[in-house]
Amino acid sequence: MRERSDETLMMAYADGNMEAFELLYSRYRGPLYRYILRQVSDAATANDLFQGSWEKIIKASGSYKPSAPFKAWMYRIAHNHVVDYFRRIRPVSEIPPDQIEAKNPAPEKQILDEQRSSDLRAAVNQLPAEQKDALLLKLEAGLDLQTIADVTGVNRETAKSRLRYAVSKLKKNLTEQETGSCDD
Amino acid sequence: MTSDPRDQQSGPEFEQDLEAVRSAWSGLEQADPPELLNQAVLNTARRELNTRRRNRPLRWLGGFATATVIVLALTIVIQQDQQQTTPVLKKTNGFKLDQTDPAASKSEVDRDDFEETARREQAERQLSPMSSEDAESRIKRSAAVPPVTASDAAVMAVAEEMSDSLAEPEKAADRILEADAWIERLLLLRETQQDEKLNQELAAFREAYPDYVLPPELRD
Repeated sequence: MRERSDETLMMAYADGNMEAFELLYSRYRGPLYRYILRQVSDAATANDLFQGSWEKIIKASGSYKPSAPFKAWMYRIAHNHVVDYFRRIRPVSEIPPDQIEAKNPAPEKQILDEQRSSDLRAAVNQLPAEQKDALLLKLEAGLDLQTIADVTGVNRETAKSRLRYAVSKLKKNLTEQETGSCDD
Repeated sequence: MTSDPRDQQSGPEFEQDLEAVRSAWSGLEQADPPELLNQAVLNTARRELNTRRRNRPLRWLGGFATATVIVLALTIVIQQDQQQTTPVLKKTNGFKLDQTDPAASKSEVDRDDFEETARREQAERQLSPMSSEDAESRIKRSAAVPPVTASDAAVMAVAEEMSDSLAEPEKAADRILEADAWIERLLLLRETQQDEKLNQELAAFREAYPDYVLPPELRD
């Protein structure tokens, strides 16, 4: 069963095969969780959104058509769920990146090792939501431009533009970090 | 999904930047959902399957009930059709099905034989001129035919009704047979010396079949 495609597994689950779902879940639980976690930067919220996304996927499994790639279909559901969340709590969700970092203090001995990762996460959190979404779909979900466009409901050029801006800003941030560390 | 050739058209600079970001990104911790969360999601999936399994028999039952109603309705329609056609069948077969009297039944068989013989003789008459000996033998055979009874008359009436309900081409053939039977009946009346009735019947026959060539014994 391990060689079966995502679409076949989803259809098998819709027909009542729980093992197919377990396999499908094991394939995507990590990437989907990280895609959500990197957007909200809050484990509790990420857990809620992750569970809510899977509940929607499970409910919609009966109407799933194998003509649509499962991966794009699944990320579209998760994307919409996250977007709905941000629409609901937008006024209080504008948490400054430094506060987010303060919520998750790392052990002292790991601070230096994780400094760069923390800076990167902070840089990602500073991105506009659409650019961050496109970047995470690229880096965490491994989707191509067309699929990112399909998932986020925009055309390919818009998705490409968002990704370009996000990558450019992050690259600039990384360069500044390198410059800063050299100066130190 | 990452090998779309159009992605490569974004420019080498973009690809280099993306690779640098990806490299830095891979240094982030690989966060996974907590085990409790995994169990919660899997339990949700199991519950959904159980719910569908519970609902499935009900859907099947609904389909079965619909099919049953359709079959029942069809059965009723067919039965009604049969009930409407049964009286007609009884009517057309009435003279045989309703025959309970053995004597009447025997009379019916004799009459059938007699009609068959009459038909054969009619054909012979048309092929060859009738001699006086033939005529005598026919009269003798006719004398052996049982007399017409009330039940025979009823049967004839039913037969006439049947012949009326037949299609037009068949009707012409039946008329010839009726004429033959009628001739035989007239011969019988002559043999039994029922002259008054014979004259009435003969007049009726001539009116019904003006072109029919009467046998010599009835021409007088």
